Amino acid sequence: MRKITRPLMAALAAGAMALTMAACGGGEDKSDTKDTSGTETTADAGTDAGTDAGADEGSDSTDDGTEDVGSDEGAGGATAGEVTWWGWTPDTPVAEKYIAAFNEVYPDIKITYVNYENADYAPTMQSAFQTGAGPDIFDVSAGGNVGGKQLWGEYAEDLAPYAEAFLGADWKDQFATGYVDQLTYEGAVVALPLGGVAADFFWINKDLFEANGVSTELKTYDELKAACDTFAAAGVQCFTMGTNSTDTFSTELLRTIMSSIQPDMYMKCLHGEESWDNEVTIQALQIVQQMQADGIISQDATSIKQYPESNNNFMSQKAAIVQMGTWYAQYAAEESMLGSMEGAGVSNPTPFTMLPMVAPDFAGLGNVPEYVGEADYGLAINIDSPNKDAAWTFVSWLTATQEGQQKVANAIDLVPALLGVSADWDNLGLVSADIQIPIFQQMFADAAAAPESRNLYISAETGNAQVIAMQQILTGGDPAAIAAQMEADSVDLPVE
Amino acid sequence: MAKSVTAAPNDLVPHSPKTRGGATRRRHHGAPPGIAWILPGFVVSVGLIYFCIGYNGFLSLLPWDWRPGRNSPMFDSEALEGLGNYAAALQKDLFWTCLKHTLIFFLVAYVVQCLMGIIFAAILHSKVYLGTLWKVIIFIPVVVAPAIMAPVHRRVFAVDGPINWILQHLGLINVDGMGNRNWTGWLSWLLNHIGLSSVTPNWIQPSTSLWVIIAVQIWGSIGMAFILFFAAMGQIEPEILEAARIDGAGNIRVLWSVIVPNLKPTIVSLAILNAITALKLFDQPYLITAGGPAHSSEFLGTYIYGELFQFHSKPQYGGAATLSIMLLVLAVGCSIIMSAGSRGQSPAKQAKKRARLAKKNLEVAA
Amino acid sequence: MFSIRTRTGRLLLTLLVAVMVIPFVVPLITMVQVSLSGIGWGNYKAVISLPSFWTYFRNSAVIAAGTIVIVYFLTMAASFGFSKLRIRSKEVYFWALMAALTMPEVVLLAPLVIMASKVHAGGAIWAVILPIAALQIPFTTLLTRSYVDGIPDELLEAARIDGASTWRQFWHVVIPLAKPMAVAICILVLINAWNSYLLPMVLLGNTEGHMVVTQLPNSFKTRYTDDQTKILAGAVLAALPEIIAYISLQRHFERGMAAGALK
Repeated sequence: MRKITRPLMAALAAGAMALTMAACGGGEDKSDTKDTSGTETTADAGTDAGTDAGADEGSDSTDDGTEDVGSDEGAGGATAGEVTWWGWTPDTPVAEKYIAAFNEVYPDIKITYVNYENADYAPTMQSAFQTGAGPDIFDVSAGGNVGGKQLWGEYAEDLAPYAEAFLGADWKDQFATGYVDQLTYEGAVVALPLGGVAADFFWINKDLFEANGVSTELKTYDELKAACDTFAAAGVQCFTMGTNSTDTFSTELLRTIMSSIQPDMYMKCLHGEESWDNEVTIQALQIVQQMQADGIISQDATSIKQYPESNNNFMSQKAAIVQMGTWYAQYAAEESMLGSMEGAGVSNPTPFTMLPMVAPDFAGLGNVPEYVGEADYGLAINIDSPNKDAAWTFVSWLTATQEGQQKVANAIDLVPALLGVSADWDNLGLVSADIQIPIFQQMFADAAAAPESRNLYISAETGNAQVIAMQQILTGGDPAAIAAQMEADSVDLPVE
Repeated sequence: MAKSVTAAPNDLVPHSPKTRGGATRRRHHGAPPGIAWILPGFVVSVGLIYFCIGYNGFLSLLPWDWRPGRNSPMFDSEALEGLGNYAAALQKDLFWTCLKHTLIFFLVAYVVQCLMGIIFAAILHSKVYLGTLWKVIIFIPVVVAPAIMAPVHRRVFAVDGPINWILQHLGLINVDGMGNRNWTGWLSWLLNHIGLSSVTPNWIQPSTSLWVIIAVQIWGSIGMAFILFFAAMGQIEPEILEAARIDGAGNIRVLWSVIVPNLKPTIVSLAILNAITALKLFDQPYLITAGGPAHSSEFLGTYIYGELFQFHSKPQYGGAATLSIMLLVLAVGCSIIMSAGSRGQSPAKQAKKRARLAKKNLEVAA
Repeated sequence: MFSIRTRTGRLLLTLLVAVMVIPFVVPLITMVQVSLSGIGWGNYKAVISLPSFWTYFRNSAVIAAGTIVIVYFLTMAASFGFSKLRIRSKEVYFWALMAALTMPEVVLLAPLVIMASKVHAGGAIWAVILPIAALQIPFTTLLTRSYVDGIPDELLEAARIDGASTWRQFWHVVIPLAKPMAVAICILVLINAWNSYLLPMVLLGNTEGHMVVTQLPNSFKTRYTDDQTKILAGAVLAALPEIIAYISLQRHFERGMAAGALK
């Protein structure tokens, strides 16, 4: 028995494999024939997609979209159909508000939104997409390993011809500066921006600040430290931060500090013009360590996540300062703040007034850290979708009409992508409208004008390297060694 | 009381001893042909699994960062590169870090599981009150999905969570004005002097996150060890215990010299089970610590997943497949070495022996 | 095992075990406690009023049921074949099956993701059922084969002499006699399928989302919100069916899981 075992085994395994491979052969053939040029790189596939879409749309705009399914009306749009939309953002209730408003105009287009948790989006999309069974509409962001255009761009219809037919030749200029370019991948506009974000500043609990007699403008490191001492004496955590996660929230503190030392250094490192183990990074890491030693960064920073723990610390008023971006404004409205406080475990919550605060000049060199920002995400249309017309009706309504963008603006979690739209400030139910409105308006204006992009050039490798650097610096690592490791692990993205 | 835990009809025994194993098989020459009976199961299981292994093998020969594009064929033979990925994997620090974590996880979880399993089984075989209640409490963690419990464990080990609450009330840690937790004087002195000053009561941090994962695993698996040991102890002839007692042996001595030697087969099968568990671990580190911070609780499972969906801007299928093949070799290798090593037998015989043991345990567990 | 002669001894031992189980209870208490903070029972109401609340349970039930049916019939047939029927080089097939016994599911990840997309199976529920079943069959077959070995050949021969076909022998002799083993297998497979997390997460991206019970707590975790109270309320509700099933079928669960431990 044992003698024949081996050859038989091999034959058996080979047979089983051949059998299953044969079964899968069909799928393989299909994709081969579809790709007539026989290319296999993603780059080629991307440009293929681009030119295809262009040709389609060309005929679309002249023939009034007769070649597409659905009951067509007007330039490539449809007024009836069923469309699925997948995204990691917005949260389902927000998306439902958008869809409800959309349905007031187009009652016969049914939009089904499926929200995925950040980390689940990429794996789900990866297995779903190439089936042709993917969504009609999906979220795409400028970068990152969740919805980055480098991941999903090749599956997206080029929306440039659509947008041009809809908004006219100067369509790009009608969006906030840079947003369309940020969502352009290998020559194709893979998504139209819904809105933007900006970060690299702090949020403070004004009530806690005032109750403890702390100024709401902390301009230097020493003022920040003094404030934290005051809070500590009152049993309030000063600055809550969570590094215990793969998300990159905590790295924004590092960037903010680097900007206070030398404003353009972070970008130079991202672009490979400087290496990460430079003096500025090392000094910034030292300042982070100093902040921990001075009790500004609480000791639990390495064992909590920005979400949920830091967010909960801030929302339950245990902590006075948190570093978040423009999206945090959504909790300034009474209703969402109450929900968020209850989510943090507070029974019978009383809302408080939260305000953005420009980060202090950490290094004392006179550089006030500026906002960094970009298009947060855009909506893409699946190149294989059978419902492109109905999908476009929704995408164009939400991203490129005043009406749709007004809804986006009113959620105050995004900077509206379309220029000239601003939130309906008086009717948002802010906790302290008179104080918050002028400050928020300024914040959104600064956000739209942010000079540097936020995540666009941060590869996942670089982002992870910075998260690890933050974790290590807060657990007693050596700044120079950490910076060297950052340099070794970072991967620069090409500048387009 | 112990009866209420064990009592169950021995309903799993349609066999007579003489018709076991090889003895019957020789008589099957006159039996009807059976290939059609095993084929469906064989195709589903061996077909799918071996295909995936084979496909992993193929993918591992592509560049580390290969990923399927919209139009790329399933077998992208033009991209074939060779065995370089394996050399690259062996040179990655993270690969060895994962192996180290796997080994520590296995050793600690296994030893604690055996110890606690034996102690619980021995106690519940004695005359305690409310035996069923204790058994249910110990076994519930085995049943509930690790993925469902993950957010709970994060909370349990949170800085302001129940573990620190208990430690605080035991006087082992104190809390300062800002909510920072520190060891109380003597404990902090002790930790500093044995070189563990980085261990603070913030559990999910680089110096302790691996231990959180181990603790969670122990929590979830003692029940299993307990049930197996409990069943095995039920098999020990009461006369042997009596004889030992008459010879004047105390409880502890009986446990060590009489009971434990009888548990050896269970101890061995738990070793195999734990080794496999350690190698395939994914849900807990992924959901509780995300393999971190700073890869401090990374395992091969999360590493493979990370290569695909987390660590890079684009998935690295070549690398993930290479690591998968290496993990597979480790898993199969481990089970062969451990089972063969424990008895000096061939894997095929081992498998049969294990089946017999499994069946025996089934019967006694009933 | 320990000989305890006095009432005090029994009480002390009981006290000891009560202290020793505290760590087992802490997470369970924490879970309930946090789920009731904030808006209290409102958290549970929020979970139950999720439009897709029942979808989570239904999908998991479908996956579990499908896996059980596949594993049960294929295992029984294969065990019968291996144990009682004539197959050339039978042990070679058996060995090939046993080599797949210790397969970590993460090893299947990259191939399955690519395959799902290339054979157009992404999002289909059978794309999850099949791999889960495939991973169970080697072990259940190992277990059941040795069990069927225990069924006396004489029984089958008697049936054969009475004119029973192979199929009837299987259906009327093997299946009924192997029932106790079947229960153990079903429980083992049920738990493994119900508790599966990775494969449904990656392979079940359809319009209903990858909604299986292990994902229920996650439904309150989105990009900028992470509502712990509702997450843990979701965890309690997701864990309850398992805990109730276990408490009502203690012996079967312990036996099934114990069988699964002996790879």
